[in-house]
Amino acid sequence: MGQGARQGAPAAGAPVAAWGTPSGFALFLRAAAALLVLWLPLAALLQIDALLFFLTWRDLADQLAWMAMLLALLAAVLALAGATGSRLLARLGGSSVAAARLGWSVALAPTLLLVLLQLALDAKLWLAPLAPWVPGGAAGFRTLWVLALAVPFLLALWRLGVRRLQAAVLDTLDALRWPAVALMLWAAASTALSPPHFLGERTQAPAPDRPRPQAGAPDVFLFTIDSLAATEAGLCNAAPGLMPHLQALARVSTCVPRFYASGNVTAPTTTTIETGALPWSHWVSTFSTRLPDGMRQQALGQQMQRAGYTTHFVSAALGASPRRRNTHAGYDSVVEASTTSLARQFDNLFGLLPDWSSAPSILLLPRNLLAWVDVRSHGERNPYPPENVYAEAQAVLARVDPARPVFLWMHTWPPHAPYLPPPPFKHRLLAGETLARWQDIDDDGGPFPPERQPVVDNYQLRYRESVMAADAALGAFLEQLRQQGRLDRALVVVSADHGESFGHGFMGHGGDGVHQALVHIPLLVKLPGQRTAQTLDMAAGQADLGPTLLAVAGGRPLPHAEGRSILPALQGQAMAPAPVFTMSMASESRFSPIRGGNYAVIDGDLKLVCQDMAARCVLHDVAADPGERQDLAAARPADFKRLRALMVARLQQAEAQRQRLIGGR
Amino acid sequence: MIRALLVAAILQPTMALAYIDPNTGGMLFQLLAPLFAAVVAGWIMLRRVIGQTVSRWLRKLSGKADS
Repeated sequence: MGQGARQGAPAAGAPVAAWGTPSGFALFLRAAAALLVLWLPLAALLQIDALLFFLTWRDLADQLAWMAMLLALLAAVLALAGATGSRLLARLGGSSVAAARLGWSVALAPTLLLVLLQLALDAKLWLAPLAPWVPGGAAGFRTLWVLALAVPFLLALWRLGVRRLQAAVLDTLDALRWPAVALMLWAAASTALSPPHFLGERTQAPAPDRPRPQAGAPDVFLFTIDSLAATEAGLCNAAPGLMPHLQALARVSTCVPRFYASGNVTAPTTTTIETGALPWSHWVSTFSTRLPDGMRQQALGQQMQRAGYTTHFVSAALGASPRRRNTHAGYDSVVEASTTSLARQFDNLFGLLPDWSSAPSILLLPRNLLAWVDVRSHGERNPYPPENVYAEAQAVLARVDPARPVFLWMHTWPPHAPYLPPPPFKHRLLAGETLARWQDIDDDGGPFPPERQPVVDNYQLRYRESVMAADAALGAFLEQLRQQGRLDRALVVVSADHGESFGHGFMGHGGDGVHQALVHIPLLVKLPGQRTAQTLDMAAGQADLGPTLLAVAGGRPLPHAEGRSILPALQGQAMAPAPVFTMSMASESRFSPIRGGNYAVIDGDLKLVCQDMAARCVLHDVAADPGERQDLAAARPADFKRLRALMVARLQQAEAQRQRLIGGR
Repeated sequence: MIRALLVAAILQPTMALAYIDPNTGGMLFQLLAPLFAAVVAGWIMLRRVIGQTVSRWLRKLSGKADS
């Protein structure tokens, strides 16, 4: 560091007040040092393994450069605020000491707090594998972790005192000014060479050369209800259940009682609906949202546009949104529904830069701080009511070109956690204040021990109340469509992205499991003009949905589809059954051969579940044993051998597809 | 033996739950985080020595004598 830069500044170790009224530039350099040299590497390193599962080093460097530019901008804003506040206080007669303290505090307090929290998080996660006997995520141990990480800080405070600690921090930032300048120069050059693609509010009219639709092409309404398990929905049952409005729709629809999600979490399963490809082919996961180019350009939205449709997506979750997987070009509008959640509003900002796939991982800490505020500020209110999605959907319908049929995909959030059903559904199944507020039900998903089952059963009751509320909201929207004369002549599809588990020692969704509660989901299909109920006695999967919608709409097939159109069966024609696949991909690199993950194939009532590339498999009869307790491998060796051979062959095909579409790094 | 166990503990990647926790204890993170801490701490402590050394080399390269 050049001594010239320190002219006018006191010697190292001097108290803050001795630094005098700070200039904006001095504040900017220190804030930039904290954010770019300390916070950004700490945040990126924490996720470096996951990021490199789906990004090349070049992509990662580009995206870190964009982040560095944004952080430099944030440092400039903080410095401006600090310098302005400091001068204002001095003019109003404040002492120079107070003015100096205000300036440094405004610019550096938030940045240093962020650095400290990130450092604590990194330290905790770095130490966790060294002390595996201390379960870091368990609530009882959080206090222990906080204390352990606070001890070094308190020791430094005790040893140095507040003033000398402040001075030491400022000296440290002083030392990091020039690395910060170097990083900013690198970031500016990199961003200029590889600028991010900024996507504003995306609403556009169809291009004049868009093909005309086929005669009589119906409107297509696709509803995906997040985390709706088939057994909870009970749509194919004659007896009244939790979803009376959808059961009413089922009386003029085809119900598919054996319908399966392609996975257990939103991003990969909704990508399967868009591409017809299974997760082992498209490689989209919660943290890896980049669809291979060949699939991205020929997904459901584009094919519907080529069939003459105007296409729209309204989503309550960015994980389901085409903005996250870069298929937004296939939609004339992509709308994220309004929400009172600060964390979700923060998430939605990522949708403005669809190429910036690393952002949600790197910005995990600030995002989680907002989530912490959300949990405490919402009380019993659900921040993502489905009515917000349906209101946006009505706004879309009010502005679409009436000369073209509409493809409108709506993804709603409840009954996804937090299970916060509104009145009058709350307390219908679980009385009292148990699990009433978000604060009571936060952060309880994942594996649980058997003795916790009674608590999980209470969660399930609140979940069921949320299912009732989701049904009422969708019922009201369907009624609006009916009154507008749109419902009867439309293709209406109601399904889910995945299910929700309250057993098998796992609550929620995601994770490694592919048991029935996670992957068995409802499917209702009302063909245009359908007046009678039908039940499809055939297993089908999410990979079949896109091809089926395109068959009804007169569109071209999805080129990478691993499913098929089930339209003939919906029209009452005979179709040969086909095996259905579902999976939980491992957290592993898409640039390397497939190694881990859990994969299942459903053939009629049989379900083969495999691990370790089908080296270990178990066979269940899910009709006779829906809890998947009994392994039939020994009792039905021929079925076991046949399905295992099928699984091995499909895994080999998936690996060949991965090499073709993604390849090595 | 103890060293081998320590290395295994540090390098052992923890399997992550895809939705719940993307990357707790990833191997690269375990290796790079202390390296980063060492580089930053080294820079802070040795920056003047580094600066003087670089200046001396630059002066030698430009043919100027030490002042």
